[in-house]
Amino acid sequence: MADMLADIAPTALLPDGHYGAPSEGVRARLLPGGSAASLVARRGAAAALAARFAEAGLVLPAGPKAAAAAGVTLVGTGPGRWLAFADDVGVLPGRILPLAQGLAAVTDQSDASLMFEVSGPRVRPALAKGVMVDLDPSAFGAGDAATTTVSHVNLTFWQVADTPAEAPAFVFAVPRSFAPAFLRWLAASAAEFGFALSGAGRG
Amino acid sequence: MRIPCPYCGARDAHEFAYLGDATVTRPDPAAPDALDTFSAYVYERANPEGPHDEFWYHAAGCRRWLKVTRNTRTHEILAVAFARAEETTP
Repeated sequence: MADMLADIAPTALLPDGHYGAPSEGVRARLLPGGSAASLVARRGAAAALAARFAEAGLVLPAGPKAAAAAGVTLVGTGPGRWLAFADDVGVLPGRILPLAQGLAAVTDQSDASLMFEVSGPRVRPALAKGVMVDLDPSAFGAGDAATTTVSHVNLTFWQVADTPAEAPAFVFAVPRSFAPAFLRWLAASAAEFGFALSGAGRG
Repeated sequence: MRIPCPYCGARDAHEFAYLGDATVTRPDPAAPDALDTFSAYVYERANPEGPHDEFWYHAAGCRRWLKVTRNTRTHEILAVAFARAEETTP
């Protein structure tokens, strides 16, 4: 499949279009830019922090899970550590800063990642070529998240909460400067099933 | 080899960085024999066959230090816990 990408600069995102087989086994969409922040609880403060978030209608998941509530998706990345994402520009970190006061450190991550939503009937066999986490529905379901290495790129991804096991959608938060490499891996891995890319414009 | 991280679940060994022996304890720097005990603490390592306590850092996952009991003959992982005692899963 190397020929397929030979004329595309490795430093740029792939352009929108159809790659590989004529079917549409895997779809990826670059999500419009929103805002993001990391949240790290002070030692011993995780429980108090979760309680304060719950009062504000937000859910801080215990463990590697993604929880969407009130326009903010909070993803567990480690003990007492979360990434927060919002669809709207400029919402984070402001939205969670007052909740973290005295209990956690908040850092703006709005420009750190590009977000790809990956779905389609053959999404699991395509992702299995680089995702070392078991994505079988018995092991990884809606709302489950993982921070891991995919094709040498360290990233966080999760299965979108309301997507069923037979038609899952995953969101990959990919470090911005590694996104071209990630997308080339995804296109090459999904090409045999047919791969449709949108949201990236001319790449 | 896969290491069952207490937070992330079973992960490939290449997500982890290996520090080594988790059985040595930092000696008292004020003790009169500090030079000898520090030399042993820094340089001297046993090379045991069988179960061994080791520190592993989950660099590509939750970024926590783990204390892992690994069988050096078979790579079987016998026990895993966060290295910091008060660390809990959430």
